[in-house]
Amino acid sequence: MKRIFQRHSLTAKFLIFLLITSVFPLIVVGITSFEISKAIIQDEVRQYTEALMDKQKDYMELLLEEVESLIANLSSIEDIKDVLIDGDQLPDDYTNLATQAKIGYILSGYTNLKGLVSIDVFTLGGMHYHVGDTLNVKEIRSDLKNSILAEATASKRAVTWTGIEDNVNINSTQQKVITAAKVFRKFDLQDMQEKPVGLLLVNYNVDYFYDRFSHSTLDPDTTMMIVDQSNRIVFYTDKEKIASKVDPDFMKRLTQRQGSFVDDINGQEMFVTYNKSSKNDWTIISFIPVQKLIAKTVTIRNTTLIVFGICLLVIILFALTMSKKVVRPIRKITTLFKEIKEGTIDDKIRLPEMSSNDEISELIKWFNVFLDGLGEKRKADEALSHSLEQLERAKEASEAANRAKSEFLANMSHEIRTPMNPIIGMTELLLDTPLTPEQHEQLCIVRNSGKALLDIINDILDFSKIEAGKVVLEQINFNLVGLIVEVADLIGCKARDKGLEIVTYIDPLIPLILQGDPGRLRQILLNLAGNAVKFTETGTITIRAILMRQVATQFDIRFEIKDTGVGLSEEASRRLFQPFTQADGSTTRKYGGTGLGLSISKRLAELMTGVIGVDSTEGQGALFYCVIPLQVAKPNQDSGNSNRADVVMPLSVVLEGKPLGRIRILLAEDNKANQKLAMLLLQKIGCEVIVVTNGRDAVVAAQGGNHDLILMDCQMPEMDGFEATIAIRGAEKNTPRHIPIIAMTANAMQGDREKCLSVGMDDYISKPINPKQLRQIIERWSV
Amino acid sequence: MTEYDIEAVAEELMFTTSELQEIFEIYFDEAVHLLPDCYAVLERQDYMEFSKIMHGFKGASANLRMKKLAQLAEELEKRGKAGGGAEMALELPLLEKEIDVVRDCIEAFYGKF
Repeated sequence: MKRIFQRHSLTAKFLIFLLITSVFPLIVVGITSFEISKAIIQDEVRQYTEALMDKQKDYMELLLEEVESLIANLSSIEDIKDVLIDGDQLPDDYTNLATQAKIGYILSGYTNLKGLVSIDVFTLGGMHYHVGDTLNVKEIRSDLKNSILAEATASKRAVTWTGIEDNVNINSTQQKVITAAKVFRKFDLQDMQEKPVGLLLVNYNVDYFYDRFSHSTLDPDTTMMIVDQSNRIVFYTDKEKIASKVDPDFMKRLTQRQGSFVDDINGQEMFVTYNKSSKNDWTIISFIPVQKLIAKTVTIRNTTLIVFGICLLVIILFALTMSKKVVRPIRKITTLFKEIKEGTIDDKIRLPEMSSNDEISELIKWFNVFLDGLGEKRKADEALSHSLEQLERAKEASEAANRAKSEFLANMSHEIRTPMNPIIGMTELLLDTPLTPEQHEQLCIVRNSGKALLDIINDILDFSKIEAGKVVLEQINFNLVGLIVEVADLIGCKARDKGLEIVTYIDPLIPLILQGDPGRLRQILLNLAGNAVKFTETGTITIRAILMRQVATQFDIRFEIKDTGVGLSEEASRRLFQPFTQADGSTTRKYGGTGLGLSISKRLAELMTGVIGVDSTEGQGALFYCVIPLQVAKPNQDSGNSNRADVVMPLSVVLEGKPLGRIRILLAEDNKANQKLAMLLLQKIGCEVIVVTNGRDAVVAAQGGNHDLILMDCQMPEMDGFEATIAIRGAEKNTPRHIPIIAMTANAMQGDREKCLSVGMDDYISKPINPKQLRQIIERWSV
Repeated sequence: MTEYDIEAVAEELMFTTSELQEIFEIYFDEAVHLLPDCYAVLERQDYMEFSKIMHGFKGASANLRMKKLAQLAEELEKRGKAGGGAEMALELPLLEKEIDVVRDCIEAFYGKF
């Protein structure tokens, strides 16, 4: 049932519900009513039939009483008594004739009884007195007479009804008669008991008897039967059957004085009603076809069926009407919800509202309200989408403008920086020449101002590059201890000038050699440490590196720069890392700077997938920190020197465009054009260059000279760069010295770099020489 | 050799054209001796030496962004390293011709060296 309900629509469920709650009880009531009606009708028919049978019995007994009255009257006639008492003696002929005449005369006075066939009186002496339908009474059925006599003698009744019998008078016109008999008796003084002396027979007409009952008021389909005590039919609607015997088995069922039952009679179901007469044990039986009885209940059945059909029709119509009213709007709403989901709904569609005030009407009303809201939401979404598009376009335009600005800034900075290099470089060269104190001081101002300007330009350039997404991080091995020491050294001069103490701490769990971008990391730390010195008047600057977490080869290192300076307010801490922002306006005036340093540091830290932040309370110093994930060094990279703490040899903050200062470079190159080109490039960035044309000279120069770096061509006459490097490294053995050797070769084959590094070179630059690459590599390795 | 843009090379190398001119003069002074040296080593079948000469010439040409010359030199260097053959001498005029083309181009910019 549950499955049926789940499978069918709401209409089907509603219909089934109505059928169960309405039609089923109706069927039960109908069937019950029909059965009760049928039972009542049958009972009424039974009562009616039994009453009818009672009346018929009374009528029959009335007829019999007429005969019995006749017999009683005859019995009381003294003349007849005398004849019978003396009947055992045969009279003489005259006496006989006289007696015959007298008895005949007497009997003829009683022949006015309707239906009477004959009256016969028999004496035991053999006399026969007769009056009736025949005068020929010589021939009689003696055996029958004797049988009746015996039966009547044995009976205790005054009159014995023998039932339908053959007529005793053989010559009678009525061969079958209904016979009533009475035995005459006299008291025998000798025996002191009564003795039969004669027999009185009254024969009644069977046809007359039939006529008396054939017109009874029974239904045409009803048949009636009167059966004598010997189961012979005395009366039956079908006259032919009179005098025949009834099935004894059927008669055995008539056990009561009166009653009724249903029996199969000749293949037809019959309602049988019977009533027995106490007078002669005759039974009056009626047969009514059961079908006839039921026929009266058919009307009830048909009426019930018609009512049932009408109810069913009404229910179906009601269900369909309800479906139209309830289910159809629900279906429509469901369809519209699907369209809403698929986005195909017509915004203008609305469900027609109903005049009624029921739940469906409410549902439609509020669904329409929902559609109104949906339409408005769509319009709002479209407007929002339009706004977002405009916003996106504006954003793109803004970003494009920002990129253009950054590029412009970068270009401008580059253009400004380029002449700054020679200005500073030349100023420093001039400072090395003999000058008056005033000239020296003035030149120092020029140099310092230039450097300050260059710092600002470099900051702007860095920031622009980061904003333009042009900063590419390196992944090289470096010595973290060296880097921290370098930072400490770089701020050391100014710190000492202010009387500040610098403390460094490196977590021993951190590997010595890590892989990352040491230049950018140094830039971050130097910026933070530089700020610490700038904003601290007394106390200590602490630089710490702590291992936060290690996952496989990745080390998350927290760098902390703690000072005892002026500190920061909470509000200042929040906007500190925004570009062009300092703690407050007075900071710029008091301490100078572009306000880009922390912003650059933040972006660099984020580029390294790290974080940067500050914990500070105003007046209580500040703790700047950054957490940077670094990889442990790969063993095969820079294997010649990667385990040495002096892989990173800090010299100065060497940002792009800044003069490198007096870096002495030994250039080993045999090709004169290459020599000239490299020399010019190196001189342009402020390096001093000593040129040798073969490996052997390079080895000699390296031993004797005070070079910061060697640029080594690999292929040279007499001794190539590889051999020269091996020789130089051999000479450095057991000394703390390690001069960086950079291979410079036209070989660009895979494995060349490894070959260079394997003989002890520190890095590799390929020809054609890229000026920027050359600068970067010198920046990285210059000592 | 219209592809050889001296101003572009100067910009790339961050030189002025006059600075670049000094380097060109040295380059072509060396190039004069290059071909006789090549023929000589090929004659004595010293292909490894031939390869070294080409290597040096390749580096100098590449530094000055003379791409075609650098490619030719590299090819000859590889063949010399691989054992080469006397027939490499037949290809030297090709190299010589390309040098002349570049020289003409540069001299057209600066005037005759």
